[in-house]
Amino acid sequence: MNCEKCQDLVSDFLDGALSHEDQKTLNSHLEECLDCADVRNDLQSIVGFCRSNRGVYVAPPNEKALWLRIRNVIEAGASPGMLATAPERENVERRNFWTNWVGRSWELSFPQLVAAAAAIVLVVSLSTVVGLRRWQSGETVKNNNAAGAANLSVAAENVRSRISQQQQLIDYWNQRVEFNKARWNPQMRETFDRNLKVIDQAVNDSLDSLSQNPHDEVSEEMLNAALNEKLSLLKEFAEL
Amino acid sequence: MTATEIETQHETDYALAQKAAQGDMGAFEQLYQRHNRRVYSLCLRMTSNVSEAEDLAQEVFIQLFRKIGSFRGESAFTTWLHRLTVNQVLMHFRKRGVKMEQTTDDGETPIQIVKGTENPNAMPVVDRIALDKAIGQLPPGYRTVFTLHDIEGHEHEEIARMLGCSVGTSKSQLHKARMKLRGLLRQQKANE
Repeated sequence: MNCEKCQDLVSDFLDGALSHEDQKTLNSHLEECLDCADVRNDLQSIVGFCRSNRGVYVAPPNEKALWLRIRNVIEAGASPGMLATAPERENVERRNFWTNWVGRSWELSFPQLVAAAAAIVLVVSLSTVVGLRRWQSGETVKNNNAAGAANLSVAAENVRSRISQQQQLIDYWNQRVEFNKARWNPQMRETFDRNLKVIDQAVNDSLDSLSQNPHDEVSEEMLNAALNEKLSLLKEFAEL
Repeated sequence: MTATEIETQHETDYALAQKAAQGDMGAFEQLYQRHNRRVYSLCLRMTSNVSEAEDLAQEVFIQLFRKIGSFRGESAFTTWLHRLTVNQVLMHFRKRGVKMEQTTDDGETPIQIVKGTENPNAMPVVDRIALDKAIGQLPPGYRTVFTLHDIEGHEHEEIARMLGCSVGTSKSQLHKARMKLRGLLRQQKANE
């Protein structure tokens, strides 16, 4: 066996993959050739060192930072409902309803457009009727005598009492909303504020009407509807 | 580690993997804490580059999260993750166009010790720093086979499957890698 052939077999020898016969030939060459014996010894120490150090691991330069990078990438690529714990997922689903509702692009079919137009006509007609009744009521109020004024104050008191009851509930839910508000994202906060502003406007309009005519049933109805709407909104957002 | 401990570890990894597959980031973070060193070390040994290894470890865990639902617990989680890591690094090599050395007849000249030029006493005692440095100087193909066989303990059949080469090529590259390492370690000693 020459040195080249011997050195080619050294690796197989170290891995125990040499046939009995080859091993015998190799051993006899190694006993005679110091150079090849050196190669065998050197490779043995390299392989031995690696084997003895198997399972020794080094840490990344900054394990925490690496984890944060991984998490950020995963979260950026995952759908919002896919991650986080079960309660968090429920919140995300609720938030999705509002963000989807606010952010969606409205595409209406022809029947939907007709229905929307009909709804607008209905609202305008109703507003006209309300306006006329308000005007008539105003006229009536002007013509009322002192006895009529007393009736008005009783009616106004009834309205105030009902508002006060509703207001207590509203205050309670408002507190809960304020408590959770800090956790909301800006888009959600904006949605809530916008909805609340519209409802408050409706409440104030109804109150104005009722202050002029406490017997105005339509305004009273509208006030009740607006207050109920406000309560629903607060309850909905208090859960988020 | 006893067989029971291994089994417990395996079960726990599997349970965490199942939770992570449901989107539980807490469970996934635990898997990261448990295995990030193993993954990073393998990436580092195969690339010999700290920032490359870190980027690859990051990519491995991102891929792990995406594929964790497909882990059925049929093999040990570490084996599965190990394969995922090796594949990721090899894919990185291919993308980067790293030449995997071929051991054909007209391939690289085998490293031979020219008689009379070597000092029999010059081979330094192998230590981690010297070896890591020398491994870093190996051509990527040699380094991959050496890392997978001698450091990670894979058989040539597995390596051949992973690299898409023959068992003979894997053996041949391993031998050349060892011989080259020997030369590099000797050179380090001579330069001291």
